[in-house]
Amino acid sequence: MDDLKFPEILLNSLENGHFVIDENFTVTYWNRWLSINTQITSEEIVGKSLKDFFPKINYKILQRKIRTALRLSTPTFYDSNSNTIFIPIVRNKVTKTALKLMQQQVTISPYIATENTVMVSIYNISELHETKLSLVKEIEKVNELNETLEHNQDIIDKNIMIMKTTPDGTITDTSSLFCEFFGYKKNELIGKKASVLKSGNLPNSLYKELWNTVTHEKSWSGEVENLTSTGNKKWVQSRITPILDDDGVLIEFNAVYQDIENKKLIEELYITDPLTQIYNRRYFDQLMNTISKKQRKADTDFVILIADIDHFKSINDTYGHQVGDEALKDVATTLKGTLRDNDVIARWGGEEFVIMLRNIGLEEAQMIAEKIRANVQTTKVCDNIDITTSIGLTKYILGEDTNLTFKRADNALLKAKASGRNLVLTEL
Amino acid sequence: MNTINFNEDQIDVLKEFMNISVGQATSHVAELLDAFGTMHIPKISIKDMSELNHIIVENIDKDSNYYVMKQLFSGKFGGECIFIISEKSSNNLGSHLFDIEKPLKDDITDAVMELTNIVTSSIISRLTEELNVEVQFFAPTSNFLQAANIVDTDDVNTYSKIIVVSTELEFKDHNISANIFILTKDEAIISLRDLIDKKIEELYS
Amino acid sequence: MIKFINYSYIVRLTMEFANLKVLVVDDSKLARLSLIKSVKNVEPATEFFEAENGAIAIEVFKKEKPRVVFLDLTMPVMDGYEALVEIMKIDSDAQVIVVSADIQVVARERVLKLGAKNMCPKPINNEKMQNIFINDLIV
Repeated sequence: MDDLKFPEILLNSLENGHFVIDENFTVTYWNRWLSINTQITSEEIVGKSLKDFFPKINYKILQRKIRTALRLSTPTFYDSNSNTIFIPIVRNKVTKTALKLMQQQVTISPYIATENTVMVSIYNISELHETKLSLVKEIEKVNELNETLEHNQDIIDKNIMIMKTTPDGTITDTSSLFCEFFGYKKNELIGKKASVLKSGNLPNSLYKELWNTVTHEKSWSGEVENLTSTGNKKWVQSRITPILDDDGVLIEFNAVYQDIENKKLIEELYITDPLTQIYNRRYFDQLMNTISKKQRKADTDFVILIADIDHFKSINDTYGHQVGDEALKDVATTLKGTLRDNDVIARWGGEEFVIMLRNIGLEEAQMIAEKIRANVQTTKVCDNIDITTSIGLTKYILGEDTNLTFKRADNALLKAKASGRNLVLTEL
Repeated sequence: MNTINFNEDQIDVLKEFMNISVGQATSHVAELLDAFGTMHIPKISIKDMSELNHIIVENIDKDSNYYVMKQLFSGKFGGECIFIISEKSSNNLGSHLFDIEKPLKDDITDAVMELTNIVTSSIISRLTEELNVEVQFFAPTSNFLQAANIVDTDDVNTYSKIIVVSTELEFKDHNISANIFILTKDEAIISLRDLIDKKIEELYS
Repeated sequence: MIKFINYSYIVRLTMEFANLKVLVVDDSKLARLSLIKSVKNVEPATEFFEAENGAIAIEVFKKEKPRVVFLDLTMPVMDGYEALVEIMKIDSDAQVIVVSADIQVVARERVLKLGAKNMCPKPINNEKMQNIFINDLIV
């Protein structure tokens, strides 16, 4: 290459600082950019030591870097990431950041090896640095948000029961609370079908309705009884939402559950007679109410029995209320034990019980009533007290007010009482 | 990308290259830092870029912090040098270079920067001298990172092969161990292999 | 001076036809090959023995009594420093040339003190080898 004709012009027109020094820091060249920015002219500094002008530079480091550059014939660098302000230059630019002094990138290149001189080049990277600083701030913000998000996710995970499944019902994810509630470890559930949680006590129609709803892209809500890993039954309120992708294709189901054990318990308490643990009158009334309202054929074929413990008052008077309570409990147990699965029994009040025998003819109902009566007769309260019941029964007539049904059953009971007790009577 | 493989002989030559380069680097470090370094055999291997994460994890302690210096070099044999040195080694180096008990973080960064400068330029210069190409070095960037954050996915996408150089530089009582990962593109690695083949051919002729 | 030695060396070569025994110790196969090539270039009638670490080198040295040993420093199992000490113990007149990537001044001083005839920085080439034969070895 031909020698440059005007190297001075070239170096002076560069928008970077360039100077040449030797291992003793004596300056032999100082370009115009430096003169302008440092207010030190080339005439002032050339031939003198850099130390006289910039005493704050760490000269031990500089010397090492100069030596490295010379020995290895390779450029050496100052770290551009840390706050390098090699030659302090006040920035002209009005800036929002705290960067008052020019941020510099400094490269030391071998210049004339035989004279042990190097060229120090200074690049202004303030704006780059500012960008970097603001980026760091942004990243910090994002990290903070992420942390909050993670924290929130953590809260959700620990406090809400969530299960995710594929469209065919294979479990893909569960929250910690879900696992805890049903007594599973996460890895035991993932890959399994969601149906492992079914208790089997709910009618298939419920699952059909559920499936029908969610496969039509709607959410389904309802109460279901699920099984824990140890086989315990738990009632949960569930809401199952189908998740669709952008093209409207079903990709997964999200199910959120809520523990309603307490609600179920309260509901149970509300309709249970606390002494005998059978239904109370409130429940039976409700039942009657729905029957007379709906008048569905399957529900209207039933017989009502009213059973009353004979001479209950004298049991109370003779043996005390505690024995009376025992008598009520024993009779309730006996009655329940004599009934079929679908029959309903409730304590009507005092020593009276009411029973609904479903889907039954009058004759068969009378046989059951007779069996009840006989069973109560053989029951010994507190192991030695004999006890009997009188029973009145009648069949529900389609379309009638249930009050009339009760009235007839009650009449039959009264007649049984009047006819010497320990007796089953029917009023048609 | 995965078709560029090195056979046993090629690896052997590369190891010898690296050995000589690390030897030069050690000597330079010794001279410039004014300390004698016991040289150990550097472990050299060539891996696919996709293995970078795995390799880094294998070579470092995942629970420690590291000073990570990245230096780009451009030219026909272009690439990036990643110099990874543990916090402990860096502190040793910093206190040795600055002659102080507890060097400041900026001091340590600067010390690591100097070491990186010397080691990478010795190695890359040696390689490029053999390859008869010129490279330009760019200012290295330093980062203080947790082991898990060392690998940048951008790196993985940009390069195809890594020359892994695990070396230990022992200076006086200060143990300074460092890992050097030279990330290269296909073109560079092919020209390196061609050169190695030429050397092997000469040897067997 | 060099010219003179060079000349006498050629004369000696024509006088003695007995093979020169040389042991090359290096963990790199190709480094050994490269060294052998450069020795052959100077001394074609040479019988070579190879060892890939210091321990093997000592065994070969005991058995073959080579006139010259080229020894690498950084090797697995037993490094060059240790091997050098052992070889000098076996034969204090052994001619060991250390060929190493470790080019630190201190390393050089250390091997010379241990009895090496010279230390030559890697990579080796014909010119370096010729100088070794001229200046450092008696063969």
